[in-house]
Amino acid sequence: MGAVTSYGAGMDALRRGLAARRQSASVYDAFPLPYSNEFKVNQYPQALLSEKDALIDTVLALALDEAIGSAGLDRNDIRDSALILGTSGLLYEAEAIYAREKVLGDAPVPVGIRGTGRAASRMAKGLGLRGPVLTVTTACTSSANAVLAAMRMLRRGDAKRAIVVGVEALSAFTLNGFYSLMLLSPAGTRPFDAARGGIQLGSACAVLILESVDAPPSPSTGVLLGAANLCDTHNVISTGLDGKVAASVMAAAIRDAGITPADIKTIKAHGTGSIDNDATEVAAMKAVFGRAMPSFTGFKGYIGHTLGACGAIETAALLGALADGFIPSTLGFESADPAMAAVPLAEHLQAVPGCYMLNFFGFGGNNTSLIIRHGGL
Amino acid sequence: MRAYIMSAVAIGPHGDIDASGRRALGRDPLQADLSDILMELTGKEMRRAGHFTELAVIGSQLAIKRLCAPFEPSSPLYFATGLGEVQATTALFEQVMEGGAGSTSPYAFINSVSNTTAFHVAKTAGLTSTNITVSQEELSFESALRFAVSDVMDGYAEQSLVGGVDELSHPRSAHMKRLPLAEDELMGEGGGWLCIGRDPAGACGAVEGVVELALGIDDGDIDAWASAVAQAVMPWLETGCPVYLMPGLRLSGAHARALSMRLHGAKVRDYLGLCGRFHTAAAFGIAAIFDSMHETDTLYIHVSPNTEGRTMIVGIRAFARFRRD
Repeated sequence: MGAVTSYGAGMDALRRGLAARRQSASVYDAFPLPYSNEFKVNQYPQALLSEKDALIDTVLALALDEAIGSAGLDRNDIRDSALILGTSGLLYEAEAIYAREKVLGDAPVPVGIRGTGRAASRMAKGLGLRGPVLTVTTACTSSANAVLAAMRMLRRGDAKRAIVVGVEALSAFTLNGFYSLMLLSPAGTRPFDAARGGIQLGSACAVLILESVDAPPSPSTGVLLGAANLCDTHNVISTGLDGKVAASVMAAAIRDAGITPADIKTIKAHGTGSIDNDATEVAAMKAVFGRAMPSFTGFKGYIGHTLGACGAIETAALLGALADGFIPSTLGFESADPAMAAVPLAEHLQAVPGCYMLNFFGFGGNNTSLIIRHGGL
Repeated sequence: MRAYIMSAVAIGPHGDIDASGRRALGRDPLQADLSDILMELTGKEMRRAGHFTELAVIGSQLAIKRLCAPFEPSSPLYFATGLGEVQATTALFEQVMEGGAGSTSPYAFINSVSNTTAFHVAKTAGLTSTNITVSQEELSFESALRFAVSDVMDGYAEQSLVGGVDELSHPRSAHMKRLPLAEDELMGEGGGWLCIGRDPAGACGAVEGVVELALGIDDGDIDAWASAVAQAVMPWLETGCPVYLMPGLRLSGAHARALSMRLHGAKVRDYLGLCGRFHTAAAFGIAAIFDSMHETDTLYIHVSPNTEGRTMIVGIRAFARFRRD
């Protein structure tokens, strides 16, 4: 695994931030915004932001090299890999180019760049990859669906190894869009809290290297057991409040993994901190697990809602923390919401071997659940 | 196990949905008004959806309506686009980047979200299934098709729905920069949809395969490229039926001729003259194979290179009229 987050470059920075329950949000300053900027976000460190239109390639290279190294591989070893990248769109790059051209006095072209698939195409060409290359773009579930797609490719034998990428760089376009929807929280995100008031956006890049092997090489290596994706057509920006489809996707992932709900030790919830989505997610978890609901937690108080990258980065965060022996608590949560009657982890929990569920929900009614196993059985 | 094509719809830049409406382009097309056909198919206006979403909903609705049997709501949907809702996105982008815009429309932002169109396709079709949007520039549709076929062949689903759609935008120079295409090429829009199934009953064709080669056309060695592509499609050629080569968006005439020779003189079927050039033109071309009945089984080989050293190949067998496997 490799990662670049608001904690800095590297999985170690992420793991230390999680362990210390450290906030890493700041006021967005990459581009001017067309409204009064009062919202904190989780940005890449300033040294990386100075890369401007090379930012995406820079964070991709950092995360990729770390992932390759931590897997005990080198760039030659990955040539036959599939590359599946998940992102919501990478408009940051277009904004950087637009801003530069404007300063130079040119007449800049709005979104004067190629389509969303360009980053994966560049990356594959640079690495000389021979396996399949594609970009999944399903808003906030993009890289979770990239994991799902990679799992199916590996099961089918289309590739022996898959490089899964989740990457997002916050753009003024995206921030403005969430602002127009009144979904941002000036106070920062407070997942599952009684006083939650919206989301806190973030930038991140994560690379996961998945291999099809008979047995994991070490007890700390995560095993992807199953995954599922379903679309809820209730509303384009929110899941049905009864949580039926979200529950269905959790149940489908459990079936795909060949386990039962009782096998799940902890759920890494999507937990955006928005009023309706958190309530919906709790309703869905209760529908699947009933009275035997496992502990659940959310990571967006640490690194923000990283949109298309959250599937990969939050999977990396969970696996990294589990390897360090703990399950991160829900940063931002302080007081229980009586209407939900469910309390997320408020303190770190000791990791135990077993199965973990990761949930990701997004615009377009897109819902994805992943099941991983940690520590062997 | 084979993946069968149960229905197909190509939607072209004139709003053409079958052979009777196809017209060769002599210049850039104007965007067709799709409101009548949308109303006819869905019984409603989609007031907040843009032209791009209208194209996708019309194509997908027709593909489902042309099926001989009901479409299962749990069937996965794979949607491909190179540039997505480019008109709304670029307009909002300019508004944001020029500052002082004040409050922008939330609907414009929602329409710019990458999977909003696939949501509308699913909602209109009553699907609550897997819903994945793929964007891989000029290889977007081929990538989505690979998943739609694999889901059926691997037993994840009995049926799947796959489509590819792109729209044109103005100013022209900006649009051509995004694709990127040369100034003298015709831009286009539209797309195509296929319902894929496991049961051969009622099928109009079959997908022979989707192959991705890490081999581009930019290094100048045409023979080596043609040889590799011909080798990849060799298993499909064994039945001895007529073969057509369908050059994709970026395949040069020289590459098409070299490959045609390797394929024992396969005839070239040009469809880009009907739809213009856009990232998911392959979806139009492949779906338009089924505009007409075939007297004999016919093999179509669609070959599309990108600018980053890759080539994707799709083999489609169109069944002779009334044939049942």
